[in-house]
Amino acid sequence: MKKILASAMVLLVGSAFAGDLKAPFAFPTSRVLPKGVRNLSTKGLLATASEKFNGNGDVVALGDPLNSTITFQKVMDSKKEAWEKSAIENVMNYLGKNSGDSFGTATGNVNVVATARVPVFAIGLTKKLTLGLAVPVIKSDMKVALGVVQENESLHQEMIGALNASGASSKVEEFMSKLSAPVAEKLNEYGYNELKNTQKDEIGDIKVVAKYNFVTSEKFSATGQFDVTAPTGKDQDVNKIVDVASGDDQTDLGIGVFVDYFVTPEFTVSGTIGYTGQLPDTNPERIPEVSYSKATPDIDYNTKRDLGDMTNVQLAGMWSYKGFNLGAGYSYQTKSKDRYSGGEFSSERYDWLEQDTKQKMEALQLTAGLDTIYLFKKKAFPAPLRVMVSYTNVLSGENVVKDPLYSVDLNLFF
Amino acid sequence: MNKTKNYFILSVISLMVIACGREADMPTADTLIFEQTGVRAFSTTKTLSSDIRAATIVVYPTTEDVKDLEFLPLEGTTSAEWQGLLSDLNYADRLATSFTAASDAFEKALDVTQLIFASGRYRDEALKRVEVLDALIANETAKLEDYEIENRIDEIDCYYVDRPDYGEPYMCSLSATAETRSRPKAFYTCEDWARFELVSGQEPETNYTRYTEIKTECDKRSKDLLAYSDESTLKKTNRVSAENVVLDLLLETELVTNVVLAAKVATQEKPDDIGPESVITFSSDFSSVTEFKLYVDFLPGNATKVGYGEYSLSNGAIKNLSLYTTSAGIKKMKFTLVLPDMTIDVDGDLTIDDSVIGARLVDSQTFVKFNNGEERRGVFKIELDVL
Repeated sequence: MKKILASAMVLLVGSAFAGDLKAPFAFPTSRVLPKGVRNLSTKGLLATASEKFNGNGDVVALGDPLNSTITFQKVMDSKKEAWEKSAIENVMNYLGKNSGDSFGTATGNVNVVATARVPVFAIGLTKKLTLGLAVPVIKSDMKVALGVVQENESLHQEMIGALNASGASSKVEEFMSKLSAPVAEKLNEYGYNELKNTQKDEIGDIKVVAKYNFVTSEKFSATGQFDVTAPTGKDQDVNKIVDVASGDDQTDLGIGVFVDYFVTPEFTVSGTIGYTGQLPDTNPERIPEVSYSKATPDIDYNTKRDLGDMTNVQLAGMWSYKGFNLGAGYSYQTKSKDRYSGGEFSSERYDWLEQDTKQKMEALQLTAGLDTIYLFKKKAFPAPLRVMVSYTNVLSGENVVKDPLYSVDLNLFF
Repeated sequence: MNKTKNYFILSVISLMVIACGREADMPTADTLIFEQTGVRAFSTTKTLSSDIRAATIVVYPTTEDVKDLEFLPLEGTTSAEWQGLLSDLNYADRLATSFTAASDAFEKALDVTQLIFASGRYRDEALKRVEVLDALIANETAKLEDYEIENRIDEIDCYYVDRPDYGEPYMCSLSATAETRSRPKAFYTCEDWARFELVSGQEPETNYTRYTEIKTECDKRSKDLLAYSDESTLKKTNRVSAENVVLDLLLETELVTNVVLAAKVATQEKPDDIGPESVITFSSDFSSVTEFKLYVDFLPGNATKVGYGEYSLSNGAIKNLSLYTTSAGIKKMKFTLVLPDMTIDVDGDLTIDDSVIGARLVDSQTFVKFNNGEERRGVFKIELDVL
């Protein structure tokens, strides 16, 4: 086994797995591995998703889009052909109702727990250059509940009466069925898979990182990073209305700078600025029919997509003494709006895909752990290890999950 | 030491890759569903007339069909029919009454199909209202006759000087005078009493009070009857107008597109002047159809054949016919109708109503495949009386 230096390093795999902003789980550091030293680490991440910050920064349930009123207007909007819309409008007019009159509310909620195990292998190629490979494996559990709260019973009865009066018994059955399970019926009509509880275990987007330490002194260190995220994960299934994606099917290129200031031998202040460019690609997408709903029967398998680029700024402080480590940090991330275009449908409909894709996140990170490097040097422990547990709290944001993130980072040097 | 270290390292690596997942909590969603009682199961105890009372075969025009449509019905030769229908529809203000080439084609398609649905619904509602009115008229007429007899309205004589012009009232005295004719006139019905007027100065007459009472009561009852009768006539006229409005609109649309949009069917309500009317005969248990003949003609627009022709089970123009019941108890009838320019695949609901509506086979989203390859949706409907 190669000689291990006292200074351990953590290979930064970045806070964003793919596509959207995620709560950060790593602390910035400018340290690189010494030449010939290898590092194998595993990060275990536990993320729940039940709430999110919407585009106005307000907290809403994750399943919020599944909750919507069922009005004549929305039923008409869901129909494509003129005769289909007219049939509904005629009943509405005959009953003397208006487009905003409601039959009730479709209800729904989604809870997601995702656990990511991220084995990272890094090697110090030179004393300044370190290469790393991160292979995330995402295990997710999604639970869904759907319902409907019917309202205005007299309107229901009038509607049934009007349909029976026209001799359309099948339409009565269809009306009752659709208003008993509006989301499930609509998804089936649109060709989506049934929305149900799902467990998945998938490889995410593999990341290759190169870090070059260009400044080192007693008090200060600075390192530049270049990374490539490969599309090895799986994007959201276009036939699933809600899906936990392990990747986004496109390549990202990232650059960043890490700076450490060694205030004392025990206390370090670190910072980083990074930029990730998400390269444009084509991807199958469901193209919305209306601005207020992503559910649609129309798919463009060659949608031109340019996911928004991401920036992140982090500032952290870490205290280390005889193997004990404590740290706290703040991060600020942004993602610009996604861009979509295509030739199958009107440009306005592609624009609707871009809604709520601009993101922002402020988070607070806390970490604590210990490493055995100090004891390993004293031959009091068989191997140099480092274990850190971290907690990330999302303080505010736009269009990002609000739930906190928990992580365990296990490092082995050899 | 090295061996121990290696085992330790391997153990740690194994621990690293062991998954420790967690399950998501099961969420909840509010639910409240009203009692489901809407579907009417089909009844087979009734007997239907084989004569088709009315039929509709209409194709819904698409955006492409109407994009060049320019039609101002309220300014044309059919304006009276349009006005008649619109004046009797309580949501007429939500219907379009003009179609210009410049207006948005999709909106025009919405407006045209809206009128098709409005017309169909109006015809059904008007038929039911006519049944109610006819019952009211019969009831009121019987009551009136009873009143006329019980109150012996013919006993009050009218002594008049000169016979009036046609349609004008008799100016009467309640007793004979030197100027009046020797033979008085009697009015036997309240309808006749509309022409029984008095000259001035009759108040002292013995029959004056009785005259006034009968006159007032007859006026009221006659007005009621007249109102019902007028409304019944209006509804019957507008039922025809509703159908003609749609045919009018579709003929105008056929002039700017290349497909056939409507067919006329010879029925009891709209017979062919020289040919037979359409018929359908069900088996007693409604499991099969023993006879089905439609006599169909087309508008003088895009149809390759104009003039009534027979399309039936026996000549093969109606085929693949089957009757079945869905799991919800809905009776359905499927068949294919081959017409000169298109084939219509019908999968309609068969319902029987206790009202004058009777039995109907309705498919409001039937598939229409034209011989030129184009496809549309439309409505196929036939109506039968219950015996």
